[in-house]
Amino acid sequence: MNGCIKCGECLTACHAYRHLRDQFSGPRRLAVEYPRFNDTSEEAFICTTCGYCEEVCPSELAITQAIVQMRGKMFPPQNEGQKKVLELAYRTDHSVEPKEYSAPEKGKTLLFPGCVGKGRLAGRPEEVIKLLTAAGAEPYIHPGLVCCGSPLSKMGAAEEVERLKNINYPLLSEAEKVVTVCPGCTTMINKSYGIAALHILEYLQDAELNFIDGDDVRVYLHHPCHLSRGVGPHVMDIAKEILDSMPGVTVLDCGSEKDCCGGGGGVLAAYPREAYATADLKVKEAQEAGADLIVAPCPFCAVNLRRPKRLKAVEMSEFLCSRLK
Amino acid sequence: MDCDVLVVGGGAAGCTMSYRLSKAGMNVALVTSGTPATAMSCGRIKVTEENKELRQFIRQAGEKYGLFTEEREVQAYTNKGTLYSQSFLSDYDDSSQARAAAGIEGNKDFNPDLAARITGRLTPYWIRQADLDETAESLKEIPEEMIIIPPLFDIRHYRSSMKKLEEQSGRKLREAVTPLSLPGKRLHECLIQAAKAAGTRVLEGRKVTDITAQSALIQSGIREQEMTYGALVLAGGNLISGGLVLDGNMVREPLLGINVTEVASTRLRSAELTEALSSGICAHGCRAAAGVYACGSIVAGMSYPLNKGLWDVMLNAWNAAEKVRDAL
Ligand SMILES: Cc1cc2nc3c(=O)[nH]c(=O)nc-3n(C[C@H](O)[C@H](O)[C@H](O)COP(=O)(O)OP(=O)(O)OC[C@H]3O[C@@H](n4cnc5c(N)ncnc54)[C@H](O)[C@@H]3O)c2cc1C
Ligand code: SF4
Ligand code: SF4
Repeated sequence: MNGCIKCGECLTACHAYRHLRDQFSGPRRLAVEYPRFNDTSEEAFICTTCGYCEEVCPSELAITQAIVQMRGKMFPPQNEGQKKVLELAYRTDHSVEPKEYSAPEKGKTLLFPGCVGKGRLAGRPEEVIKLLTAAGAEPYIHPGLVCCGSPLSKMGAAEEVERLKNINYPLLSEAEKVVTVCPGCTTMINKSYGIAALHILEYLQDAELNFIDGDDVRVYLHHPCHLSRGVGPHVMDIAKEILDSMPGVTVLDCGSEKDCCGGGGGVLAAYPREAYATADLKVKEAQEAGADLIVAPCPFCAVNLRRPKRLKAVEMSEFLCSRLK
Repeated sequence: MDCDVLVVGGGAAGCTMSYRLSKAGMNVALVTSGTPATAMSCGRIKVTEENKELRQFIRQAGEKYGLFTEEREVQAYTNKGTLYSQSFLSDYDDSSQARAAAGIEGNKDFNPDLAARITGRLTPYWIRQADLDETAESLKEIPEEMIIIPPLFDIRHYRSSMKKLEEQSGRKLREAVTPLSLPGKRLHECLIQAAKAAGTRVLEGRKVTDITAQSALIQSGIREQEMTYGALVLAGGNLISGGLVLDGNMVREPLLGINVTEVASTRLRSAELTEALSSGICAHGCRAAAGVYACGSIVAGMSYPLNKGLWDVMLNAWNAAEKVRDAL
C-alpha cells in the first residue's frame, strides 16, 4: 500500500464501511493492523470486492487485489458460510449446487454458464441460449465445464482455483468464441486464464434483436460492480442502449444504481445478514424512485437483490429473452 | 473521427472546458477516472478575477440543486479549523449567526467539540445517527435557533432534504464545510451534470492510457478502446489526481511527457515538493503542442499551493475553451 496519500476517499466510497459496521478492509487495515498485529478478524471478509475504493483512489492503488491476497494468507476462512461453499466446490466442482439443464453440446460460440446459471437461480442456460440464438449465434455449452474459480479466488482458495482452471482450460481454449453471463466469469477467464471471453452484453452490442411491444415497465438498471468496474463501464452503456431500444421499457435514473448490492466477494455466503441489509437499502431506493422492476446484468446480483422481496429483480439476459419476438 | 475534442480529466477544469465547447456546438468526449481534486476540495469558490459569463455558468450549474444561490463573500470554517472565504453561497452556507454545533455519532466529518473550541461561540451537541425524522426530533431538543450540522445529503437530495429537516426540527440549519466531505463532491457532480446537459459525452471510470497522433487509447475495465479526435485537451489535474507524475527527479505529464519543469532533487523535501507542485506543463496560451491543449491545475503555476483554486482553474479552462474553439 505504498503510495497511499491517506486522503480517505476509499473510506468514503466503501459501502461496507458506510452501511454495515465500523469495519473496513481497505488500506488502513492492510497497512497497519494486519501486519502489525497479525489480526485475523472479520474485516477482511466483509469486503464485497466491489472495487469502488479502487475507482475513487487518486493514487490508483490495487486495493481489492491486496484484500484478496490477504484472504489468501488467512486461508481457510473461519466463517461457516464460506466453509460450506468450499466443501461444495470440493464435492461438485461448483460454488452453487448444479441442476439439470438442456442446451446444445456442440456449436460455434461457447456459452460459459456459470455456477448461478447452472444452479438455475438466475441467468438460466436455456434462456441465455435462446437469446444468443436470436442474436445469430450458434451457442453451445460443453457439459464438462465447471466453476471458473472466481468466487473461490475471492475467498483466498488459490489451490482449488488452480484445480478448477485445469478442468476448464482445454474446453475454453478449443472454442471459437467464449461468451459469459456472469461478469465474475468474464473477468476471471480473460485475466486469469488469458482467454478472450465476452460478457453477453458485449456480444449483443451489434446484434439485431427484435423485441415485442411488451407492457410498460419502469426499470431500475443495477450496475453490478464486477461488470461496471470489473469488465468495464462501457458495458453499462451497452446495457442502457439495449434497454432503451425495447418498446415499453423506461430506464430510470435514480443516482444509486452504481451502489454495490452487498452480495459479492463471498459476503453473501459469509455474512448473509449484512448482504441482505445492503441489498434492502438499494431495493428501497429503487422502490421509492418508482421502479416496477430491477434489471441486473449479473446473475449473482439478481439473486441478492431478490432477497428483500420488495421488488422483482431479474437477470438482464432473462429479461431480454422474455421480450424477444 | 469519434469526436471533435477529447478532454482528458473531469475535474473543475475539464468540465468547464467540455461545457463551453459543447455549448459551442462541438462534439466533445470527456474521459475521466478517479476522484478529482475538485471533489476532494471544500468546494469553496472565490472569485479572484472577474468573469461574468463564468459566474453565470457556475450559478446555473448549481441552481437546480440549491447550490450557489446567492453571491456574497463570507468566511466559513471547517472542523480542521481552517478559514476559507467564498463568493458563492447556498442557503445553508453562512454559519456566522449559528450558536450551536451538532455532530452525529459515528459521522467523522464534523466534530462539534472541535468547532466549539475553534470558534469560541458555539455550544457543542452530539446526536444519534438516525433517519431524517429522528434526526429532526434530536435537533428539536437543542435550544439554540441556528445549528451547524455535518453535510448529510447528496446533491440530488440536498435542497429538498435540508428544507425538510428544517421544517420538521423548527431550527435553522447550516452546513459545516469539511474537506474530504460532501461539498466538493457536490460541486463536482453539478459540474459533470452541466457538461452532460450541454451535450458532452462523459465517459466516467475510464482512463486515457496512451496517445498517438489523432487518437487515444481508453482503458475501460479489462478492455481498451481507441478513440479518434480533432483536438486533445489535457485537464488531468496536478500531482494529487495523477495529471502529473513524479518519477525519479522529474515532474512529467504522464501521457505525452511534454514541457514539464524539472525538479532537480531526488529527495522531495517540502521545499522541493512545493516546487514540484508549482510546476506543470508549460502550455503557453493553453496550446501545449500541435492540436494539444491544456487547462486547469495541470498547467504550470495553476496549482493550489500557489493560491490558484477552483475559480482560477475554471477561469483558465473557460478562456482556453475559446482558443480551442477558434483553432478548430
Ligand atoms: C483537500 C483540498 C481542498 C481544496 N479546497 C479548495 C477550496 O475550498 N477552494 C478552492 O478554490 N480550491 C480548493 N482546492 C484546490 C482545487 O481543488 C483544485 O485547484 C482544482 O480542483 C483543480 O481542478 P482540475 O480540474 O485542474 O483538476 P482535478 O480536479 O484534479 O481533475 C483532474 C481529473 O483528471 C483525471 N485524470 C488524470 N489523468 C487522467 C487520464 N489519463 N485519464 C482519465 N482521467 C485522468 C483525474 O483522475 C481527475 O479526476 C482544494 C484542493 C484539495 C486537495
Ligand atoms: S472493494 Fe468495495 S467493499 Fe471492499 S473495501 Fe473497497 S469499497 Fe469497500
Ligand atoms: S483512496 Fe487511495 S490514496 Fe486515498 S486513502 Fe484510500 S488507498 Fe490511500
